[in-house]
Amino acid sequence: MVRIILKLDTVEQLKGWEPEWTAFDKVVNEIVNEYTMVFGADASLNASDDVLKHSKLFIRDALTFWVFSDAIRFEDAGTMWLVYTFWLFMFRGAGCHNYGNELLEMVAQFNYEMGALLRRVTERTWLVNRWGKLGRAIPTDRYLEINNGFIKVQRPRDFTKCADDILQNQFAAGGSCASMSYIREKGSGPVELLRKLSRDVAVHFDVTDVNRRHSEVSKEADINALVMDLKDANVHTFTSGQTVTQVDRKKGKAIVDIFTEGKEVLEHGAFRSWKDRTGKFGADILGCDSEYQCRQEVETGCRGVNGETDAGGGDGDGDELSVEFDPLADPEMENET
Amino acid sequence: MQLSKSSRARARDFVKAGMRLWALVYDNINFTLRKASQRLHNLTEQINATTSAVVALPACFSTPDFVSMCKMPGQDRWSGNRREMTLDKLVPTPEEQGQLHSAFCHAVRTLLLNNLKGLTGGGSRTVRIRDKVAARKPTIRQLDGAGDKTDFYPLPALAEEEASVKGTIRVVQALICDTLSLMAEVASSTLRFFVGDWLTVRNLRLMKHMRITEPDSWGRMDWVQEAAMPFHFQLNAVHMLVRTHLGESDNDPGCLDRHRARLQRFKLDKKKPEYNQACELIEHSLIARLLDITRFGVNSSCIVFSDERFG
Repeated sequence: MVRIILKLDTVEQLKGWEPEWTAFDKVVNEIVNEYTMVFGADASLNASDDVLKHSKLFIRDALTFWVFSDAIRFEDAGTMWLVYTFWLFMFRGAGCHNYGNELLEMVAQFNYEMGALLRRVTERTWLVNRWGKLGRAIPTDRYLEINNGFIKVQRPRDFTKCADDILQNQFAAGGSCASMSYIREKGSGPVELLRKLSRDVAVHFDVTDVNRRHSEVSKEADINALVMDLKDANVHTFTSGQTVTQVDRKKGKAIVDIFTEGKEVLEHGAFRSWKDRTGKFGADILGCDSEYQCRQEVETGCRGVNGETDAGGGDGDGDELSVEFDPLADPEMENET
Repeated sequence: MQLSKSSRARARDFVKAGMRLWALVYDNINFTLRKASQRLHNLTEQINATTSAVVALPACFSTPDFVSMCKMPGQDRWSGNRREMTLDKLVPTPEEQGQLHSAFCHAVRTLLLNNLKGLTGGGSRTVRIRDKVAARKPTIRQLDGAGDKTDFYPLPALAEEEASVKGTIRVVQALICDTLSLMAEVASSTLRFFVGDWLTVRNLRLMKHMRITEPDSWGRMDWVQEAAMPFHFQLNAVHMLVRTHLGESDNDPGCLDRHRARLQRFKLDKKKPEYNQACELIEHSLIARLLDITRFGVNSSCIVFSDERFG
């Protein structure tokens, strides 16, 4: 079932592997078939090795995320929709109901209500391309978050060390300038222009932060450390009977296949209650189409099971309401965490 | 001040010209003012404002077409077609699974290509493989005008909070009437795109629902078309990954938390991890795992590699 021939002991030995295309592609296919195609009931998932199972699921989920991010860069709406199709179940399985509901709503609008042109235009609002180069697109909301980051106060904690920071954020509100009127009247409108200005000043005085790569942690060192750890722990070697128990989980399940889990949750009423809630208006909580619900009641002979399984569906689980993230967050905020 | 005025004038001119379709993206911005930075008192305060920008859609969309489409009676948005939506239709089809398979193949190829020692440098063999990987990149359907440069018109912030439905109504009206100074009739003559995160989009829907009985289109706000933006989906996908795979370091050697500990990174909040930190950890962990499983695959299929070389 899980075919692992152990001849290469360490990843270090892969150095000597100098494949041509056929060999390379064959290995890639094997990896994808064996380790990632675990949607639905896959035989190897029932194997009694939790550790291996978990790693497979992680690889699948992380690759899905990678595919989505790549589709964004290349403005590939088709692939984005492909990932949404799977995320519709996966978000639900992981308990992210707000965005799970949003995906349902998006499918409803795009596939059942909008005309072709409206669909195309709406999709076009998703992404922007600052540089006009294929492969460099970012989501529209990320563009705004980046602007917000530039508007925000970024005062260096240590003035001697962060001389460039002062230059780079000279337009940012600081001290008594961090007021509503400053942001409204000065900081936010011309943010693009101020950004360019501060860059030009930095370039002129030759203080651009060109060496940032050096201060970043080396990716290779990280990967080498992890590779050794994976080998030591025999994560990807099938070991029968390895179980992972988790104490603080209510469900008692340590390893969750969020796709299958999400499908079950939707089948057990979450989908129906979403449909009942949104019936006509797509308002997600309030818009309950009474006419539709009556018809449903007649059809099924019972009252709708509003919100029975859809834990925290519309009423918003408090933490997700405030989900707000800024790529260039306030340094003082980081101190807290 | 002058710059702010001219940035607003620039956006107004663009919108009034009506040559291109546009979308308005907005989100809240929060500043925490610490005790230390207060002048008049020693309380920590927060400023909540709303920032926004007008984003021009590519020129390939013709405005007259769009306007006439919006006027079509068949475009009644809530025609109730969604009743035909069933769970069975949502389940990924074998075709979609196949598409995901080839997308995964491309992902693994790219990640291995960038991280395998035997495939670094600019040798002709590496270049050959790199070309083949690029040529086999699966693309399903690109957006109209993909790769075109986008024009942005950032707008001055509003002293409003968009987190509530009432706040959203004020924000939408202020953006249209004050910031862009559009006439109510003009604004409501065609669909206007307001885009943002889940909360924004939800508030826009609730807003339209609240106003459903108003007599005129402007009051009903049915000219507002909302759209949820992908970055917040990415953000939540990362939350999802961390929630699901963080695990307990002690008894699961393959979990994300163990990898975090190995790399001596800060702890991740299971509910709300820091995006960049979590992304980095996930990426490095994924690459390490792929390399680790590659070593199993190589032997059975290797052509160049021979056993003698490594005993």
